[in-house]
Amino acid sequence: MIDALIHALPLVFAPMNFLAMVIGVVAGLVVGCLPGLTVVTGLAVLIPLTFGLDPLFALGMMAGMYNGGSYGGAIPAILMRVPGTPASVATVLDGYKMTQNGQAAYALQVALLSGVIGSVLSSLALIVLSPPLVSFSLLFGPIEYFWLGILGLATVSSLLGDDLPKGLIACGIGLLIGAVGQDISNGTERFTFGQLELLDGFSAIVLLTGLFAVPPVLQMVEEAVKTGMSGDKLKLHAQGSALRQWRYFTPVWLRSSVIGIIIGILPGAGGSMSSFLAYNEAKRVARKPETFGHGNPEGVAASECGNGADNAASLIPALALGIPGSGVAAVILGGLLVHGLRPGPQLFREHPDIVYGFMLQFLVTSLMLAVLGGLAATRIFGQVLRLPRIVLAPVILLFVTIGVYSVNNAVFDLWVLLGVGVVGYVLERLDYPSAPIVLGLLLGPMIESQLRLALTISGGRTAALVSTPIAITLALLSAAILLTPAWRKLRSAA
Amino acid sequence: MEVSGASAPTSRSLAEIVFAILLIAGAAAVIFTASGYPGESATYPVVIGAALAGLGCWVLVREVLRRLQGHATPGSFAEHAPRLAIGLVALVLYVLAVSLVGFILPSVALGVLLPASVGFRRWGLSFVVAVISVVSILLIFVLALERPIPPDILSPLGRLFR
Amino acid sequence: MKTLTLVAALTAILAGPAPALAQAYPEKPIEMIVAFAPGGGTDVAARSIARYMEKYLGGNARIGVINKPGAGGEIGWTAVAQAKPDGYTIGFINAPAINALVIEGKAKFKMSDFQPVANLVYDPGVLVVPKSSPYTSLKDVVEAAKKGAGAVVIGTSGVSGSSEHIALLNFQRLADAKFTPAFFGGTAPVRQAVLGGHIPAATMNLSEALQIAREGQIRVIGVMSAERSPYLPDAPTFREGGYDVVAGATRGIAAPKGIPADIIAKLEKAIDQALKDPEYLDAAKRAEIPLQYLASAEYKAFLDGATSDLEATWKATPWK
Repeated sequence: MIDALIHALPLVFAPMNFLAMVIGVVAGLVVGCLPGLTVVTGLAVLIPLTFGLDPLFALGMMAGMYNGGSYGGAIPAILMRVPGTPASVATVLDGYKMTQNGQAAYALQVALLSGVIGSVLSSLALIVLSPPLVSFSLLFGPIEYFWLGILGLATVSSLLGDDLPKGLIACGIGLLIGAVGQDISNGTERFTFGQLELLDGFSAIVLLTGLFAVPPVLQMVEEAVKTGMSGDKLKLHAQGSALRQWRYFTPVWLRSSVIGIIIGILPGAGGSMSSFLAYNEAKRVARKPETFGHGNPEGVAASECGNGADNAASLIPALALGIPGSGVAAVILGGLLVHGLRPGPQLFREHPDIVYGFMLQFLVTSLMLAVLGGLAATRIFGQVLRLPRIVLAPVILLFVTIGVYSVNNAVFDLWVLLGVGVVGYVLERLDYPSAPIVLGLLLGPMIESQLRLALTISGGRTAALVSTPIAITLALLSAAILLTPAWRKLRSAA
Repeated sequence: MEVSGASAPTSRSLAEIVFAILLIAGAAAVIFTASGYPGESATYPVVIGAALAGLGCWVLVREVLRRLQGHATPGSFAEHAPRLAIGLVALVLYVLAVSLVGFILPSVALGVLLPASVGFRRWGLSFVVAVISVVSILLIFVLALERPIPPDILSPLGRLFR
Repeated sequence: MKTLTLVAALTAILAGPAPALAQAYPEKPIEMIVAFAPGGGTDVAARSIARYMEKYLGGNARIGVINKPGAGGEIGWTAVAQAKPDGYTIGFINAPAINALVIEGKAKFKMSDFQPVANLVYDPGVLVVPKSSPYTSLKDVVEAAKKGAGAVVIGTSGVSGSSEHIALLNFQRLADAKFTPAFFGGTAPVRQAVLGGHIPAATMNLSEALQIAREGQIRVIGVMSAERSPYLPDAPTFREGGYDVVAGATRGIAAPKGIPADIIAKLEKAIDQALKDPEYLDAAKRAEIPLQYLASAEYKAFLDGATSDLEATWKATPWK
């Protein structure tokens, strides 16, 4: 391995390949920060163009795009409350509050640094730990995935807000929306009302954008503020340096990275769950959990670090087994195949310089992100906030509209955006929290389908659900997460 | 759109109640619709529907009790109802216009008219910002990523750049 | 120079759409509709072939890939079927999934609404078991299934009514046994479940099983093709096992019906040449894409055959 790494080093830093990584990171930042555009779209356009080029050129671009895109999503989440990707929803919770408190630049800096640290640790895990982690990921079958979904949903306990029934209602609405569409096991169409567009259910990105982006636009119109944010609130170093506060953030970073890496290697669990679990954990162990959701930088750090740590790790099963851990990993896998690199253990034997080169590229692009991301986020995107807020409102709407349209190239989705946006506004005004809706929406389908698969496979025996050590562990963890807030209350009352 | 406080000017109690009732009705409709599905597909939505109905009742009863005790939930539903109405109408008109004549013209119009309609009079600024936004969207989505935009009456002009 | 192009383009716009003369075809960008999301197998196939088709259509031919995903392909395919047959809208169709939709009677199109242009890919289905599995042949699986009703769970990467599910129903009928299908709805999860030994058997497409089968992590106990695959010559076919199951996923290009014959010929030729392009061929071979070129007439015959086969299955065992 060490040999291969040393061998790969000059290839990674060859001028053309270096350039490819820079292009990748920048392109990733752009697609990540535009809601509706994802890294998958970017890569799909890019891969055919790399036919006949050096594999490490193509792979460097992919690695850069993956890392750049995952941080890119945080930029509009923090500045405008528009999550660029589902994974940045947890970042919105505290990040946007920080912007409202006049700490936009600091929030971006925390997000960037945390994302970089997550990506770096994840890249190291990819390089060092691939083989043992792969066998761990194979232990997960439908039963374990069911419990993993429950575990994710349990984090709702930290997102409920102050009003229990309203939080639960929000979660229920999310679960219900997740149930829309064709039931894959018997073809029953649930709540589609004969609409072809609803057969696959609502598109998560359309719903998220409607839920998070439209209400603030309406609010901006209501407030009709004719001035923008003053420039000095957007200066990078005026608000304290996250780097210098490393002692404060390190525990959050370590925990979030471990969570992100574990979720990353489990195919199908994906980025949004890492960031929610990391956020939940940070809040759970915090001394003042009530400050979360009101602009606590630890919330941003946890979410972005968990999200970043998910990236390289999701390639572990992809490279070693050919099982993509995420949509992005699936496209990268396609890109590898085009260059004749067939995933599997033999890939490490036959093309060690390319495999380890690719892994190094993940590491290098994570570090590049620190420079390019900082420049892009605060020097360019951040300045948008200096526009009068009432002028900013239609701008947000334009980008959201085109992004949502391009998900399925359907005008239908624009009406969904509008409808969901108005409902989101009503919910917000009545203090129903939005984050539990997202959680229900993303995890509900996974929980239902995995439960039914597990029961099909076991022949209907419910006892099978607690038949493996991992299943039992996950079940206990979920219970612990659910009971923590109650336990806290009990203790503080006593 | 004026839904806020009937009993007291600073209470959104009525909106709370209306929403809870709508939620319960929605949940009932869900249960009704879903019970027509084959068993295994029905269980999941029916369970969620029942839970939602229950929670809706909780919120409803709580709010009614609060009213009776004379401390209905404070706050108002809309910050500024007339401007909220303008925002909503603008949204609907915009989506309608996009589906009819495409993305480019309605977007520029929205960028200029929406701020103006709530009293922003620096036309030049809002026009420039709208045009810059539309052009950068076209550059990123159409040119760089080959993502189509909604069918546009201006799209024949686009052939000039091909 | 720029002014000239500008003037020419403006005149072209003012003159209105010219009649689709094959001499000039293509004189504006061709839209290639893909009924699946960007990044999927069909999308990548479309984007790759599009680049080489542009090359062989000559002139400044441009092909824009447009994704219209949703409803298992139905949305995109409807768009192709209803497009103007002027040669500027073509699309990828995937048999037999598209035929199945038509037979279920829900689709807004008929197979006769399409003019097949060429088939590109044929990827046969396979039945695989984990490496630790006691089953070594199709017969083992059938016998186990006969012992206890529904005792053998077979994971499929498709959904209810997918080509894999239909193939499984055919197998069941021919073997007179009953399996329990478990729908994973995607290739990645079913592959993981079979690798981890969470399910006793699974169906998927050959290209998805190749590498892990070669590594010995799963065993392919039956290939649903007429003959053994050159990519995996050790794996027996279903026919060899005594069950006449031939099924697989195809990807081909079709246009709306009524498109002028000379334009079809142009497209057909461009695809044929693209598939023979050494650079493309090299990439496809390395990625082990099971290319199978069928020209327009053969492709039509193949599609018709698929439709009548499915009709027979639908009558015997409706899958929905």
